[in-house]
Amino acid sequence: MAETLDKKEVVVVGMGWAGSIVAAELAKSGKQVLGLERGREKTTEDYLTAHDEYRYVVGHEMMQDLSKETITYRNALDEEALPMRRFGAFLIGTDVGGGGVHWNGDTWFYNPYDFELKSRTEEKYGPDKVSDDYLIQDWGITYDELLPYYEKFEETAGISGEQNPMGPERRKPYPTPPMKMTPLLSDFKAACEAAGATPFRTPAGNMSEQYTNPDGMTLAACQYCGFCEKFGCEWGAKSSPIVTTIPVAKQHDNFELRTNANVLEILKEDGEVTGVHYIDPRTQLEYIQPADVVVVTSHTTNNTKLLLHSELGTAYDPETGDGAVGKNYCLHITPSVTAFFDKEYNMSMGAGALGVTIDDYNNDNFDHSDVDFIHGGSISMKQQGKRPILENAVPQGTKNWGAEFKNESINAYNRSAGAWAQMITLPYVNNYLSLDPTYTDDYGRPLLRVTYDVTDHDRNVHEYIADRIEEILDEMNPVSKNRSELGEHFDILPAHNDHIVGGTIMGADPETSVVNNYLQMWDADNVFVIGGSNFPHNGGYNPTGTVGALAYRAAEGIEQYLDDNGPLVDA
Amino acid sequence: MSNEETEKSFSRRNFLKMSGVATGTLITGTYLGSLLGDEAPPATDEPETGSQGDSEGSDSGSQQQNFTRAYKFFQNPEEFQIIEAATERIFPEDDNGPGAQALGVAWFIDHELSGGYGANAREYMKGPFKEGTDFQGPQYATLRRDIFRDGMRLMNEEALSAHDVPFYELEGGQQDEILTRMQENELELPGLEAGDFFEELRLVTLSGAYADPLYGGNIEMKGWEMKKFPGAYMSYREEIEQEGFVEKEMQSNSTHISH
Repeated sequence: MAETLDKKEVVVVGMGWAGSIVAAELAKSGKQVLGLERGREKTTEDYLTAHDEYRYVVGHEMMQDLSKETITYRNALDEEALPMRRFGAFLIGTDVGGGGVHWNGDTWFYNPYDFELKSRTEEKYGPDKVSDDYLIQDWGITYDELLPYYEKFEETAGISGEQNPMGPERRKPYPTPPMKMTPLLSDFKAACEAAGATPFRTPAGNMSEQYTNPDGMTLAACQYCGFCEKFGCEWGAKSSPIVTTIPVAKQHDNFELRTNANVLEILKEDGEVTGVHYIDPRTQLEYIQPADVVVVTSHTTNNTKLLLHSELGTAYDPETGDGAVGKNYCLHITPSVTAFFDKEYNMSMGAGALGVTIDDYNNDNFDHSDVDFIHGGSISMKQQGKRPILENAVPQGTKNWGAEFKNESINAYNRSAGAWAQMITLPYVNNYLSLDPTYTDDYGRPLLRVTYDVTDHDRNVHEYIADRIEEILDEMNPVSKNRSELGEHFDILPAHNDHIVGGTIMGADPETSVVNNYLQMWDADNVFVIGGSNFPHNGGYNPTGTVGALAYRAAEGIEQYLDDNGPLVDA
Repeated sequence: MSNEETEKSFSRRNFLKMSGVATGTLITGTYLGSLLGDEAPPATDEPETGSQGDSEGSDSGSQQQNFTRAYKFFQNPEEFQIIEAATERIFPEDDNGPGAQALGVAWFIDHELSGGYGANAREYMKGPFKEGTDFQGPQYATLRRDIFRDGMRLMNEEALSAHDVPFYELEGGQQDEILTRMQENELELPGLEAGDFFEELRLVTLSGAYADPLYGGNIEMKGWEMKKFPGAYMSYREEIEQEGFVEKEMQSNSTHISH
């Protein structure tokens, strides 16, 4: 029997970037906010001895406990989905700060073209450029409308960088200057130029210098220790909720953080959302938390799962095309090429977003009239800091164990580097999220079922982008190269890319989207859903900057809703 | 600031001081972070004496009894010897340096199999278990501790039936032949493909060779030394821009711990 708790004005489900931004903003304006987090409290002190690849990378220390919940997976509608029993293709974070603690720090504004993908494509290339099976749509918001929120997130997070020569001109400089340059990145930069591209520094949430944000939070300067991705930063030098938004929210007595609170369902009475039902995963004790507004800010997969379990919105049906919850599930495919050199670099040194990027083959930055795809991807080389257990690149044809493997992998450790792209994938009619008919989580709920395969369109982009990466790396005079190939089908086991999006997408039309451009549900005025799950497609950059911008916009919308109690956008 | 000075500023004793004060000071940023301006933290007057190995007893340790060298998972010396021999073929001693045996990989595997790793503790292990496509990831019900028991027995049975000696007494080439047949699914294990066991064995061997020595493998950080991976350093700020390779002494996580 669940215990019913005292009502709050706003309950926020998940304390990653999106949830903590909403919590901090509403706490500042005096609202009564409760932040629920299924994981544990985490602070920078918890990462003092985190330079441990085995525990954090091999052991997935900061990720969702799959013994309690996972997803099921299949490539096609006529297959039976089976559970993702261990992590592979993508990771799902947990604990206070969520993925915003273990991320690398790459922070981008999506391109103006992204927000109007469908209309601009049709305008320039005609209505038949991509088939109707690709469910591209405009986002219901323009770049100019979202820009102030992007800038706000950048200032909170202290992002470092320089003007992207292929991007819109910035209104203000980055809050912090570019990070340090390394010999490897200098060589890559020269190679980009020699290949006719226009390199610039990757925008980074690893602080190039000490920085105090508008909320008065001070972030330390990055030490380039090489332990960013999948680790927390003991210095507080990687921007994250635990050094920015969470401490700001905690400065206010009207904010409460409650950990070990895993929300199972959004509750309704007479058709109105009244709060949430959550469980303590340690004790299995259950609670009813009434609230005026419910803000769903968990992982892409869990946002969609929660709406489906709560029967909010209409589930997408790939056969009829009706419904929108679960639709437009997309990811990033990463064409990559590893180059092997004679020269030795200091590959153990680095930072998550320490890199050089080119944008020449991204967005609509080049003419697509003569290619069989739209959009593209940003191409980067990054020096993130290699770690020895899983970094064993060897030239093609080398067996993966034994004397030759050992010698080649040791030799290549400081003499090889990869470049890769954050390549878009287009939403496709059969790629979607739904509930699994067979498998359940630790609390008896159906698991989320992912149906996904690589599309012809995305294969075309992959080939094109991989060719461009090879051209650039050839300018670095490598001894040899390994180029990634797309398999026959998308495989859930090998590590791939964590940037999965869609499922609760935004838009201007309630028929084809789940939330409006304040991230307010069309079907429930007092429910807001924020995250990568809002993206109708994945742009050619890492997604966190856009999640941050959407969260700031949602916070404004929620405040307005608490005053006016109505839809913020007309359907 | 020279490399030497940067290392000094992260000496164990110095770090302990900082982390001790750090508790409870998370208001804006962190205590550690607040020490940093745009430069690495200042070195203190305290001299750094010798490598961390001295204080951890790694040199003198060879003369002392190592109480962690006892079986938590293996049931008899034969099991230990099979795994030790197999991992040495996967990661052999060569001109670069020690192989799995000298790095303590079998001890690492013994200790890991006795805990959460051996029990697939953080993996989804609910049924029904069904054979999936090649793109749906591992779907077997067997726990790692059972897979390893079966795998060890299988390797040894193959050795005995083909050559009349236990696996660990075979020539290297003969061991490789059995391992290759394992990798290529030509041998049979209950509940899963033999290649799945080989892949587990391959990955756990690399983990034992290269994980922080706190787990019992990578003895004296000799695995890291081969790859020139310096280990658990907390800053390369003063070195990252340098041309040419920067040689550094290896540093383990134990340097950040107070006893």
